Amino acid sequence: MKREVEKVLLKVQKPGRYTGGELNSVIKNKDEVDVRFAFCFPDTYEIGMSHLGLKILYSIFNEVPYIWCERVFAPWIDMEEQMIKNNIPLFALESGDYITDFDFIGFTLQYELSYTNVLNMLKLANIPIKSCDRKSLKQIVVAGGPCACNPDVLADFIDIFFIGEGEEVDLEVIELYRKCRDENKSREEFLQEAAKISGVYVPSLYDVTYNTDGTIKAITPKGDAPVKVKKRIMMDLDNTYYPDKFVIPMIEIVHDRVVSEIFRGCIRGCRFCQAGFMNRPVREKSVETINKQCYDLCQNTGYDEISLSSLSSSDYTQIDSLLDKLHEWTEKDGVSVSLPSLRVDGFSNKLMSKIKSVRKSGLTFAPEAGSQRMRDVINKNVKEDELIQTCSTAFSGGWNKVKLYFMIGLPTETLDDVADIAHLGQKVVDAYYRCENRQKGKAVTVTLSASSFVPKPFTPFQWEPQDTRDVLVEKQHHIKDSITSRKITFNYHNSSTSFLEAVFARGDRRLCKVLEKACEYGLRFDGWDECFDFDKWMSVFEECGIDPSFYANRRRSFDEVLPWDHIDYGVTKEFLIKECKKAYEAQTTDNCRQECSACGAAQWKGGICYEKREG
Amino acid sequence: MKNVRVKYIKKGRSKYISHLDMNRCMTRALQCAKLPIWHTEGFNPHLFITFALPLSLGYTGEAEYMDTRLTEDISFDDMKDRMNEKLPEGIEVVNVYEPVYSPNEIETALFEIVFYDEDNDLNLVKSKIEQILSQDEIIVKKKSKSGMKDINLKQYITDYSLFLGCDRLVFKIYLPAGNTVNINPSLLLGKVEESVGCELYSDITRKEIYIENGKVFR
Repeated sequence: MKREVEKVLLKVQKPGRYTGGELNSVIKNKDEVDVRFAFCFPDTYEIGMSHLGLKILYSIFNEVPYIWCERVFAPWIDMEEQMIKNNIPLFALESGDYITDFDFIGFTLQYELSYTNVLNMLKLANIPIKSCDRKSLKQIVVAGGPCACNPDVLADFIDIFFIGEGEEVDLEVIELYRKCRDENKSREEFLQEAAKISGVYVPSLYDVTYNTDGTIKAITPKGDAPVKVKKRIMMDLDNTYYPDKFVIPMIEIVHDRVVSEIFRGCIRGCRFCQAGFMNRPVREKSVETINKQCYDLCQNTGYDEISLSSLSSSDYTQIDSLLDKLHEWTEKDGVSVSLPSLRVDGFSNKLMSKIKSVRKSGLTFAPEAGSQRMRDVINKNVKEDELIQTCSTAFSGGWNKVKLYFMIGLPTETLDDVADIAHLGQKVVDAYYRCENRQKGKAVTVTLSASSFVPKPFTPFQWEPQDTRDVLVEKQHHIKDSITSRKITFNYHNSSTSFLEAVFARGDRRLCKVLEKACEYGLRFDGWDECFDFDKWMSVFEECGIDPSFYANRRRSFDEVLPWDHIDYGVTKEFLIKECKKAYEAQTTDNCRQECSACGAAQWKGGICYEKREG
Repeated sequence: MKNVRVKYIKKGRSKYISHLDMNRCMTRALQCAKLPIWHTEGFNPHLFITFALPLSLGYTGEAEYMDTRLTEDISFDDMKDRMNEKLPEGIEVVNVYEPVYSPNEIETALFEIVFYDEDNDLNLVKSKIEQILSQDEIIVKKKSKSGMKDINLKQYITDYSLFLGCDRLVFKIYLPAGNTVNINPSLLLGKVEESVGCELYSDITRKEIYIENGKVFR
């Protein structure tokens, strides 16, 4: 650690965020590596260290002898202040070296409200934030993750976007960089070569033109750049790299446990869910692979908790045999297994008894909408009696706390629909008191949590306007007023952060100057209440002459050129249009396991698209 | 069942692990090393570990002690090696043995405070320390359960030394430690800083812990 860093560490909260040196972190000799990669997570240590993608890519990069990948997190505001005051540039945790002259600065884009942190981190690292101001073949700023699906919002800042799953494409680009540097190629030559790799999007190689009404006229590639950039995907998860160790943080982080992915993708097709469409098709890992990965990770980390991660755990076809297999050793080693993302209709007595080792703190389900009509509109395919049945099962099993997640502001939603959120909460309370095997003498707590819907690219709702903030606030109040029981707690999110999220989720290149200005004004950590400054944001939009509601609250027509039309996740636009029209009719679509809906994901010739279906 | 004492060093990056996080860190290392540690039998069973004397965040500790209980007989050297394999950079087990004294007997700790030439005016710091220590009373504010309280440090200072080298000033001082009275050297350093009139930078190390009559805690 550098002495100037040590000098400020005692002046900040949680200095353990900035020291590195954790067990299983990778230290290499910098004279023996060719490529220095700064893996930047644009949020705090505790959030970033909980992220599985970071763990996978960190390990995969460091397996390559010539690459040294180090972790970098956004310094919290107290540390940022000290760094600025003492002229300390952003540094990497492993070596303590400033990342200014690193070969690659890589960001993972998990949520739109972290975009200002991306810019702020570049600024703190003394790296020119704009791509055009970085001239030589170093400081290559790359980005991947779910938000890379609409990359143009960050087009001015990022040199290369990785579209889809990064296990292979990232390494191909690093290898190309090394080759280009050996051959004394220029930065431009390297970027042009990189654009030829499948799954690579280089925004500087595209021109965007606009119509007079502000919509996009065309997105045109220059030179050899592909017209459409198709996502990369790992089809055989049993033979895809997975780390056998995690870096063990010394301070408490959000998710501090072993995580094993059990499958990627989702069979369901809930129409609001971006992950459900972008990660198609469903690809499962085998029981043997998961079991071995969990075992090795527990051995190498000392964790006593495993979380089986996926978009919908109970949809894993071998869930029972997986749990049985894990129980062969977890019980005697004192390791508990948890299943997040359980569907309302996937929670059985049998499953419950197998995950009993989990403390009975609370159960969380996401019906997403209050009325049956709304749940059909969003294709959630969960029936009210299933929810009541599931809650009763849980109540008999000793649970007395249930948390239900909802969204408000969904397409076609009325005040009556949102009032049903309150009514559903009441029905769950009633179910508790009807349940004879409930824990005697204990009251039930039902927490209803409503977030504001943000329409996202690559979903059937990508053309939809977001409800205005006034309407969202009205709906929040209406739910509150419809609750009559004191057993029900109602939480809702600040609608202005959802508004900003909606602007950037479906924004285009013209928002780059907004982000640049926001960074100049010191906006960052927008996902944190203590930093979010809506008024300042609005004045930035005004100063840039940009109307944010054009992006958030406008209905797009099906034939409009969308800012992400040159990015291809495999699911066709025709399919999304069909799904959107079905939503208006409140018609549901069968899940992938019941019937194929010809979404386009079958082009990868694997996964669920080529499995035998039920019945 | 056998009680054992683990003596370890805490230095470098690990200085910044708080006492609470130390608990987690040691638990992980013991678990990961697959050592036969006794679990508590309460509502929420966990590995049984207890620390002799908490160390302030940012201090180096050269003689830190953690007690635990083994359910099987294993070699102490083996335990030491297995723990060291699983501990983060900067924490190093130096010895494992059967406890001799109880942590309740701890009375004093020896601190070494090093000021460097590059950060501070060493002569000035030295003269200010001497001046403060020669006063009849050294009144500082100390946080206690009942709020801030004025205390007189003078009564607690028995022995110290000051040595000015070519690039550093080494200040060693014995201070009360343990269950009844605990004096953190930062109280005194605050006083020095106040009198020098600018921020001081120093490395603080707890060198040793003692029981009555200056016997080294073991």
